[in-house]
Amino acid sequence: MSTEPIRMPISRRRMLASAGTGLGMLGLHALMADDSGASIASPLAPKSPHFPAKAKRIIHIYLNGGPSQVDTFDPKPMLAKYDGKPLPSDSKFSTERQTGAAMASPFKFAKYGQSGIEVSEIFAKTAQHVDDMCFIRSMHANTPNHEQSMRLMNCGDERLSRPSMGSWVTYGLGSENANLPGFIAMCPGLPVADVSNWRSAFLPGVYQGTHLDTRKTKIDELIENITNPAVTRPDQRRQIDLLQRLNRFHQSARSGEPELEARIQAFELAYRMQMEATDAFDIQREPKHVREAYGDTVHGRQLLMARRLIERGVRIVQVYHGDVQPWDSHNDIAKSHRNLANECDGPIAALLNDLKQRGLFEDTLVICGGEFGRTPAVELVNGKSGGGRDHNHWGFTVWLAGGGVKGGTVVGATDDFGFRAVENPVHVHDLHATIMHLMGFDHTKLTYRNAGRDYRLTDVHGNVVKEVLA
Amino acid sequence: MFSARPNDFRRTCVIRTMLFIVIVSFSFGKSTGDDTADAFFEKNVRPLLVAKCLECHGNEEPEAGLRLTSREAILKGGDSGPAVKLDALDKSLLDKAVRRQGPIKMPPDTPLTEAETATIRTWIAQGIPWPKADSAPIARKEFAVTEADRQHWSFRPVTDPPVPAVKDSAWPLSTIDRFILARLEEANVRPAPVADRRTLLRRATFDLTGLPPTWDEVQAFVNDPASTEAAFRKVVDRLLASPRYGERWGRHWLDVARFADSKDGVLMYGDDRIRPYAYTYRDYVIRAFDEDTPFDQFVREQIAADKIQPKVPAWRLAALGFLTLGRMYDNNVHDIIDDQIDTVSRGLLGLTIACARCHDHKYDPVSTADYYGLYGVFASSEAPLELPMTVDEVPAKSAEFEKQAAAKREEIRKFRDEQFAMLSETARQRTDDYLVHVATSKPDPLETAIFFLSLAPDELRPPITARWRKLIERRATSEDPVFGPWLDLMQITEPEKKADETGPGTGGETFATTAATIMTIWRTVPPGTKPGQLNPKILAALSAKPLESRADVARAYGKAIEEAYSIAKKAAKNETGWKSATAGDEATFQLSELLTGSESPAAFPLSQTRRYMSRAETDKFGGMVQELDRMAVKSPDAPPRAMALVDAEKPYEPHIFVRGNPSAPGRRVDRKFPDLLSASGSKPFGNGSGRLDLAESIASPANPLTARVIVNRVWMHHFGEPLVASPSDFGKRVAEPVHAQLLDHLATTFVRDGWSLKKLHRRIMTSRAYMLASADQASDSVSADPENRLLGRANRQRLSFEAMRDSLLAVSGRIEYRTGGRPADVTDPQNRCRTVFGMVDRQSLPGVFRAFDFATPDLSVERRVRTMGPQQALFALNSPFVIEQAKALAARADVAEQEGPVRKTTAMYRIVFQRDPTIEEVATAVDFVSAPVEPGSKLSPWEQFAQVLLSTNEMMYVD
Repeated sequence: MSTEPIRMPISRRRMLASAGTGLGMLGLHALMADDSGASIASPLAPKSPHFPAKAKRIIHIYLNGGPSQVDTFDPKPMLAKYDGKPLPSDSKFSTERQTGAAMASPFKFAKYGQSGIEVSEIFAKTAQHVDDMCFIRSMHANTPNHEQSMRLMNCGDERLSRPSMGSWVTYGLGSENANLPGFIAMCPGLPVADVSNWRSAFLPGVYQGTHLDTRKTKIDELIENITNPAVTRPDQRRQIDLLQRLNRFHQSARSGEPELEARIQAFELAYRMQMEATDAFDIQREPKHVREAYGDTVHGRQLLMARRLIERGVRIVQVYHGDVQPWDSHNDIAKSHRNLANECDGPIAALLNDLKQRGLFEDTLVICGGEFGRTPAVELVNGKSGGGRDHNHWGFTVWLAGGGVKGGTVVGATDDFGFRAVENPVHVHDLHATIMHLMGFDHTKLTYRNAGRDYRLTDVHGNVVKEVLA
Repeated sequence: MFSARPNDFRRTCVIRTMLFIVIVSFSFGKSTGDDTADAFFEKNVRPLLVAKCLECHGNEEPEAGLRLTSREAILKGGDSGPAVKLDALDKSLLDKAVRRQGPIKMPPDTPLTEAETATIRTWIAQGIPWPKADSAPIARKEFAVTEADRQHWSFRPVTDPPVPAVKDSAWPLSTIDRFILARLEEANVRPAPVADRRTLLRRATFDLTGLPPTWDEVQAFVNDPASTEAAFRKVVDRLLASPRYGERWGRHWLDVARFADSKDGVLMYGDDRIRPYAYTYRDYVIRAFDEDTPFDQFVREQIAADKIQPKVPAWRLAALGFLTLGRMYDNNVHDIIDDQIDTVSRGLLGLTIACARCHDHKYDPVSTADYYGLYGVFASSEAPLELPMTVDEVPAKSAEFEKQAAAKREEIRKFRDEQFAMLSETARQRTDDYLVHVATSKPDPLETAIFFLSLAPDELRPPITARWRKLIERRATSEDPVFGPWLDLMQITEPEKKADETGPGTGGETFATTAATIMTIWRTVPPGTKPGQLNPKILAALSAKPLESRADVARAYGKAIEEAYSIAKKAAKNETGWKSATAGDEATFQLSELLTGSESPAAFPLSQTRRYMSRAETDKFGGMVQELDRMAVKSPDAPPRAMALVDAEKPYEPHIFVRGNPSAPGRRVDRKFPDLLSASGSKPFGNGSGRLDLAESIASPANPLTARVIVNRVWMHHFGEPLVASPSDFGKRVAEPVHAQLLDHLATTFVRDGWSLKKLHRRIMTSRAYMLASADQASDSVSADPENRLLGRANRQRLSFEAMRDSLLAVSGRIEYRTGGRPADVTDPQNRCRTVFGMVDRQSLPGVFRAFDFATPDLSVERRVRTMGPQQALFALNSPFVIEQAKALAARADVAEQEGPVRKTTAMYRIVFQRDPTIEEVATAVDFVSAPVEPGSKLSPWEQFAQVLLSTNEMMYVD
């Protein structure tokens, strides 16, 4: 964060200093951002990025398990030609398991929109938006294992404990709603590598993603301590009034200690949050036609909830497709990928429509993809084809849409078979740099001091992919 | 050109042959002989290459295979082809890359300036002249600790500064006070008065025990006829003797030790996540604090308890959890060691040595050699399959459990040993397959990546392939008696393959003819096993039948090596007698040694067997290990064990991993202490792994950092602010603290006191500085020194998560004390034990821990962050735990039996705040409890009132 010389009452400064350089700066912004007079030292107070940016918030639709690029957004006619035949040796790369001959996609591709970008039939509804989407077909990562690649995609490192992208974004921008967590990760269950996907690591715990198990539907199961099991709301209000009175007695002999005031305010926030959070998560408050557009499935509900949350100022919402690694189609991809896409294609299209209708599309960044892709060659199970594909980190597709993204574009390309990114390769670090840029940050400058050095999401890597930018 | 030396003759012949058959163009270093061009190179090009390119494109493990270290290397190029083509200078990749005009943009982060790209272009246009081609390639700056480095304030020896004179000689109660008062007088700041006795007692009690005092304790202190100072000294002694002390201060250390009870493996759920014996380290720490274990001994035990003579009592072996309780990093040993280096160096030395994993430290005088010196220590240590017990004998009730556990351990040991034998033997027997693979494929990054492959039994093991590549890269020179011919034969143009890849198509005969020609030359080389000779077994193998492809060459090599190995193996009774087994047959021995030596590409240590197993076996092995842990977690009879380490049978000889990449071993280094911390360069550690040497070096009074670092941590917890603002980083970027003299005074007296922490606490707490009132009552100090750097008053402190929860339990009367044992679920609202005994689940830290700024157990934490958010307030308002304590407080006999609201209010205030309420507070309370409760509320007015008291700022802050 940039530092600015600002004078402030001293004990504030001391409090900030006590939290280390990074948070100190952060808290500084937080304090300055609050103009109510009461100094609320909320680390989640909204902050400005390095430069003006269109995107104000993020919805990251995470198709965890590794969706196959050649069956979704990266058509490869050559695969059909080679179907059943070995790939040329210079077009075959090692992955986690043994693979055999080329396997044509079982799905048809068609051109959509003005841009004529080809998309697989299993994403036909989402494809209606191609002119507003940017497909990076030359993504690549480091290793063909889920855990490592999930962490790389989310935290910028495969194994070490590093803060997640959501934590960095929330650290940099705060939240526009003090009554809700700044970063929410929704999943019916837990993806592989579970909480490490949204961890804050050495950033303060407040920036960690709040995980919502969307198999649950009751608000008090979704957010800890959000409802009171013992007293009615008017009684609780009386309790808080009493509390604040006693706190004022206490404070009168201890003037000039903003932390005491901050804690008084925190109770008021918490009180309001009980109502606000209940409202944000209650999709029953949406009109029927909206609920129907998303569909009454876990994926429809998740995405609708995501929209309600970002609409209320939550900074970043991640929506995982499902428990563990649903897109991991080692067998029978024709059936499994069709089913998986069928679960989310409609809801994603509905979300994009809904964002556009509400005027949120312009300043919401939508990201969709997995941790890697899948092999164009068929996976061998005991030496035989099972109709599925192995993990493939050499090349895969991620698409972006909304705030600051150049729609109707394709960036980069894989080889003729879709195995490896060959044209304008975009590493996960580059994707991170680009996302940070879209949010208004120079990814090399959003840093946090830890263990003797300044850390950042992209470590020592990352180049902004200019072709993605509108 | 002919010389008498046979190898020169041979080399010349081979080169001639090669030129004749035009296989590859040899480009010798070229100096134009043009002084201007040479000067241009030395002045502009060489410095540019050193500064901007060689970090990644140096000699060792260059990025994309491209070395920019010689003319030949540039012409040869890397994965993307030659960086410069002499026949197309204007289309050079190097030029495009630095101008960022193609897909490759270099350097990746900061583009070269226009002047710099112009330099490169000029140089290319000259034909990249490279003066003194024979001289060593460009070297990077050598690392050295300078005298200036050693003069950094924290690297200088600890001094015993004279106690300063002060004007107000009545004020100081101790030497500490004189250091503080001298600075205050210098700045003309009047310190705050001493706090009142109740405040003092609360401060001291929270400070030393993490709990509030009782009303009676406050009364006793307030009414003590002795002077405040004298009475307070008694209080400090009483508190230091309390068993609650270790529970509080042990937890401070657990932050530094990044303690957690759980594993961080993926797809582990429930009990499988628990490290069954992590708690023994937590209990060790608490007991060590309680017994006032001298800190130097505490350090030695945590690094080398198993090596200390005479042997330490069994419970102290658990100290080694300090090294073993970190994250597992997907079982990647390099990351685990990195975490150990980081925890030891930041935790004990205040040095960020882990920064030197990939390159010399950017700020501090710490080199990669220092890092890998420590790496070697930890790489030479391993966890034994049977962990030592922390009790002297197996408890009677544990006999049956131990029988089963022993059987399981034996099962694991047997399986591992069998797999090791089988996998090692297969690796040797398949040398031909490995060599064919090496000869016919490009290096695959996955061979050297650190991750998990699902290997089928018949698949080649990627790390072994990688090591063969390395070995051949190193040995395939014209001098090498074994791989000399390999170098030449592998340069022949490979025959075209058939379209279906089933085998060589046309061209095999041409290959064979060329190969035969090359072998004709090699036949003239004298047979033998020395440089410049040719191993006769290799000659025989390469002459046996026509070589039609690279694969043929590689297979011939492989078969020859395997055959030599079989001969040696038949003759050898065991694997230690290979040399004698080949009975003077040097040629056979030379080949067999490629498979039997400890540096053989096929060799791997027993402890790494798991990485080489096939998927099914990996799963089976992992399952068995997990089962052993699960048994211990589930059985209440499992005796406590230490998460100990032992020295490996054979110490690991560390090499610097170039840019941190373990598949790029560079220079060999000693296991040793960083040069910075030893006056005349460090001697290698001699004792096994070197852990004990390391521990001794850290715990030495001569070490400038150890004592300074720990006294600073202790000071921080007493005062809320440390003297050195970054307690785990005393490096060069950290300025000398305002109270540097005081820091040295504390460190000196601490060591003189036998490294006793309790004596240090006493010294600090009985100073007047510790006893001062906090901000508001001392306006002079506040206005003159707003940040309180001069320590003219006390800092108000918020309770930590543990102190908060424990205090609620204490005042509700529900707290239950225990003496350690397995972790408890402190998120259960009914749980009553102290929070330090709660399960610390690293992978899934409960929300309440995070909301209250608990130290992340991912890495060593120097101090906790302090945030304020609504989640904390929601906990106070709505959590079943707080509501439970409120009900219990209202129901306490000493509250419930009081009659009338005034008495009840007074009783509650005395319990919660150890004071009587003011009239105004009583009136407010009476008002509150007299109002009717809403229908639907389950708490009585007094219970609601109790909850409010427990949520107040007065409850959460200590003046």
